[in-house]
Amino acid sequence: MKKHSDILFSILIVLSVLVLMPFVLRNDLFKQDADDTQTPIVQEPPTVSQTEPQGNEDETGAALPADETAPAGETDPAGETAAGETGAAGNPADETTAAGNESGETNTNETTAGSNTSGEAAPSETPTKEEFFSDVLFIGDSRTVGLMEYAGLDTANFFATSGMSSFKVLSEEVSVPNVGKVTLTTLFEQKSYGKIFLMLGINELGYSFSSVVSQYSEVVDFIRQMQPQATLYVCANLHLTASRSDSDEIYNNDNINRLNAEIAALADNENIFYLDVNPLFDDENGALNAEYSADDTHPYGKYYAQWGQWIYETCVQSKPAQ
Amino acid sequence: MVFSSLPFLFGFMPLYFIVYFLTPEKYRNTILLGGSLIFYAIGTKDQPLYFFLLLLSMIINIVLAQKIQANPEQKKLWLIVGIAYDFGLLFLFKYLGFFCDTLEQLLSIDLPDIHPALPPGISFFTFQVVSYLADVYRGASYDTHAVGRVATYMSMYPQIISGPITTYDQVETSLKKRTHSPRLFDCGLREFCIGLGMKVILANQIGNLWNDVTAIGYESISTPLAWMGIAAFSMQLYLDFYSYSLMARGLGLMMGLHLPQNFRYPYMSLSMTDFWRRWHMSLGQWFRDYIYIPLGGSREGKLRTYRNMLVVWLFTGLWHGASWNFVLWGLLLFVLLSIERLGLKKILERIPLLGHLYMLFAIPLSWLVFAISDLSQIGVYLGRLFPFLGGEAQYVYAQDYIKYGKTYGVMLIVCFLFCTPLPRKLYQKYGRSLLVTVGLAAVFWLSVYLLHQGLNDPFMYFRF
Repeated sequence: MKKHSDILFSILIVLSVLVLMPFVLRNDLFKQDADDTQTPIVQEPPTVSQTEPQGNEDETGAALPADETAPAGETDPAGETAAGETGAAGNPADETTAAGNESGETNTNETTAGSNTSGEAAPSETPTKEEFFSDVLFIGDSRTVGLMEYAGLDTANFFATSGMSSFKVLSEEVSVPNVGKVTLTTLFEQKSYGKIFLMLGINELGYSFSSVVSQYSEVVDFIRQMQPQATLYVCANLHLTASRSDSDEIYNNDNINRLNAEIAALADNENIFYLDVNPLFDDENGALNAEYSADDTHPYGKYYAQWGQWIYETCVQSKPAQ
Repeated sequence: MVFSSLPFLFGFMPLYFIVYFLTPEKYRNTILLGGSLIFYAIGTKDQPLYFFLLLLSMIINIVLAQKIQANPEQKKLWLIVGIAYDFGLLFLFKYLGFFCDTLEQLLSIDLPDIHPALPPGISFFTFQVVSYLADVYRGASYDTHAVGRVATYMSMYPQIISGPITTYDQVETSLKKRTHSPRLFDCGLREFCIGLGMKVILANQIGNLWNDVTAIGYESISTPLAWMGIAAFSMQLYLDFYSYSLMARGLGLMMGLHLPQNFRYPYMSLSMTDFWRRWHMSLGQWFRDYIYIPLGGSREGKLRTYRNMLVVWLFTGLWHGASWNFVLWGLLLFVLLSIERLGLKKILERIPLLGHLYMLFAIPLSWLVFAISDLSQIGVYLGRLFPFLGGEAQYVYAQDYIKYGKTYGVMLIVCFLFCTPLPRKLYQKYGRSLLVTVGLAAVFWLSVYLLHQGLNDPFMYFRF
């Protein structure tokens, strides 16, 4: 008995190695197979993906209704200047609001004044950043979590967790700051949003492309159906740095661009708009600039702040009269 | 091929031990040597040249040792040739790029950009073979003509990649004749599995906290998170390296080979002087025996002593990596150890509470300089650790430490416990009980599961 207990551990390990060995080896083989079948799909549209970043940029311009609806005079200046001008023309109180928000400060009075005007006199008004994001919902994965934490968009709601995908987003409970732990359905029943930003897709890249695309459009349909009043922004997935993209069979920029193109195609430029932030962070080869990220995947905290500002400026400039 | 990988655990290791134990005892060194060469060849399959470089280095050093032993008059010459060859090679692969970069900056000239991939284990191998040559030079009675044995010593796969740096006399007896027993095998396998669990379950997981902190960017972390981050890095570094040494020792024990201990609860030290006697001990001993003492140690006056310490710590810094932060790190250690030598150490040892408190800052802060290669980023991080020093914070998410505390809090506490002798004491007491035996097997299964999940299943391992 003593003797056995001396080597009981070895027996356990040796047995489990022997039992697991075929499984592990087969699994490796299996994985090889899976990769093989995936490779052609991945490399199918190389021509599209290489030129994608520029293409998307152009598309974005066309997608947002700036050219069509904006009065020529109003689109040109930056958001802030526009706010100042219209504020002066409207009523004196708004001027302080705009000025206050410009310097990043908010106090309750101003916010109230602001949201009042934005509610009633929105058409002639360029909203401040706080106002703009006050009826916004972001839906997304860890990149959206980054926006939530580092972009300082305190007035927006965020339905986002690390690892979120379009396969999970309709069923999973997420803890939404200032709201609580809810499913997307519950959240939509409770609140009504003016603008919804959807950025999903990268976590799904391991799945078959067609199922990802159809699931994504299902999510879009769901949001449109539950929140018909909201403008839906479908957002391009952020690129990865070249070093990761070049070494990863699944998570690479070719696959991201391919998916982004499908997402862009969902935009009707009426209720659904496509928004591509990649040009802001790309290097000259259309990959996430390596200096902006330590993990090749997520930008540093400070760049989320730029990203938030970019969303604001892009949407406000392009749709002043919406 | 690292020990904590599925190909090693389910491929190399079982195959090796089956062959090893099926072979009659007197041929087992040959199996060890052959297995080690295969191990190295697999590890360098992308740079097959490095495998031949290893063979070449082994032959050259074996021959040089024989020459040193055979010609007492010329032994100095042959030793110098050997040291020049070994360190020349190390310099070529590890430091030439750094050297050229520095020259470029100093003289503002253009030099070719030479950054070759590092041959696996070259830093450890170089130190080990130099110790062998130096020992023979000093008259150690090694049998330099037992070529197979010496070659085995130089290339043993448990330690060629990452130590412990072993002197020949430490393993000569085991290489000549060693006893195998089921119980010894079991002890070794246990050590190996403890190491495996420490690496996969603890070190890798806590390392993710440091990765997260790095991904956020140091200017955007809160002060509590900055401390959590550097604590995580400190624990990861220790558990990672300690676990590797444990796995190496375990593999050795399984075949009756006794490799030296490399760590003795360094984080329990009361001073940095003490810390460096307990951290990576085989490296510290190497520097003591082959640099510090030959330079005169502490016997030739105070000034010489500090000079010798400075040399040792600058080289210790550079050994860990070819960049300025490692030089700075070595200097920092030199300063701390000098202050301790001047009297601080006595105080710290007399009041253990003070010693632990001092080390609570000295350990993570010295690792900070080790961890971050960009000197200006070290400044940024220090500014977050000590916000009263000024320093710019940008876009800090104020609740970040709560978020990461929820994710990593338990892991931080567990890792902290594994930096103390407590788990080992409990293991020594209850290690043979059925519960612990099965528990340790569960550690193995969990490690395999985590390895499998991390490597093979992109569907379950979402990272975005």
